[in-house]
Amino acid sequence: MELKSLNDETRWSYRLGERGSLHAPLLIATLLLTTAGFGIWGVMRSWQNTMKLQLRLDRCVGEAALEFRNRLYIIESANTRIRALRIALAAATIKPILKPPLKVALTIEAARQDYQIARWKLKQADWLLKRGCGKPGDLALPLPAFQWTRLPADPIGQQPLSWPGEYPNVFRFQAAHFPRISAAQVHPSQKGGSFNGKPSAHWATPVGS
Amino acid sequence: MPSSQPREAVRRLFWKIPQIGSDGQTILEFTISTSLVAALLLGCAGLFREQWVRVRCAHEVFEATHEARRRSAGSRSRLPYGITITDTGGSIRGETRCGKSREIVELPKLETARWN
Repeated sequence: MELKSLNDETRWSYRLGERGSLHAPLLIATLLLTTAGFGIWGVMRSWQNTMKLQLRLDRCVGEAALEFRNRLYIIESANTRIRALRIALAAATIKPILKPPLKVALTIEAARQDYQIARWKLKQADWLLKRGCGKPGDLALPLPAFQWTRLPADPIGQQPLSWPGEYPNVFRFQAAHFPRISAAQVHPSQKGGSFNGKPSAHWATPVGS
Repeated sequence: MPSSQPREAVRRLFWKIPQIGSDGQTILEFTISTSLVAALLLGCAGLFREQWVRVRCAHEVFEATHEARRRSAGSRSRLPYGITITDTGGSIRGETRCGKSREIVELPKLETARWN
């Protein structure tokens, strides 16, 4: 009987170890830590993706704004040169030999403007087709348009471009992809019809945010 | 089978000896494994915490710098989390200390931005 009781006792204590009941808290801790680890990793990934998204939108909007700024600068400066050439052409009646090269220069400047406007129209169409930055879920405001018109040529030659109505104070660019938005604006340098320098581009606070 | 009874008793007795001894072995193994696993868990927890603090801090610096650039923050200004925003002329620079490391985010102004 004594041996039997000893046998039962030792078997019980041996079974305790086999059951692993003492390892249960460790198992729970491991599971909790693993779950927490994946949770933290998920949040960190989400932050990283948000930053990447913001930088992608910034790049897309920034590139469009800078392209617009550059084309605007080329067109505005060409307009200044066209006015100067027209004055020179009007004055060249005294020396008619100067007229042909001035006319060629005037045609080149006008063609350069038309080329810039055509390229920007292509960019606008592309922007519209891609809904801004070209990724699924992207949304964007339409790109601002160059609304310049050219009056028919007069006896002097091609006329400079003129903006119908009031010249805008600012051109806005904006693209979004939930939950982020990026916006930029271009301030034209034209004041009262005269060209003062290069237009400036800046990051801006998005409209509707 | 009278002669086999004492033999069986002896066999049982000796058979139990390693079992009695294995109790100590079990406790020893349990203690060692528990210590190792606990150390591993603590190490992992520490690593997670460090990464969490660092990434959270980096994210905060990015957000603060981005917001400052959007608002064209000119001079230096102080922000929560000890973030310092500085206008370097061509860019906006956000800086703070994240635990043992220093996190710096520099975002260019649109006029000076180059992507290619």
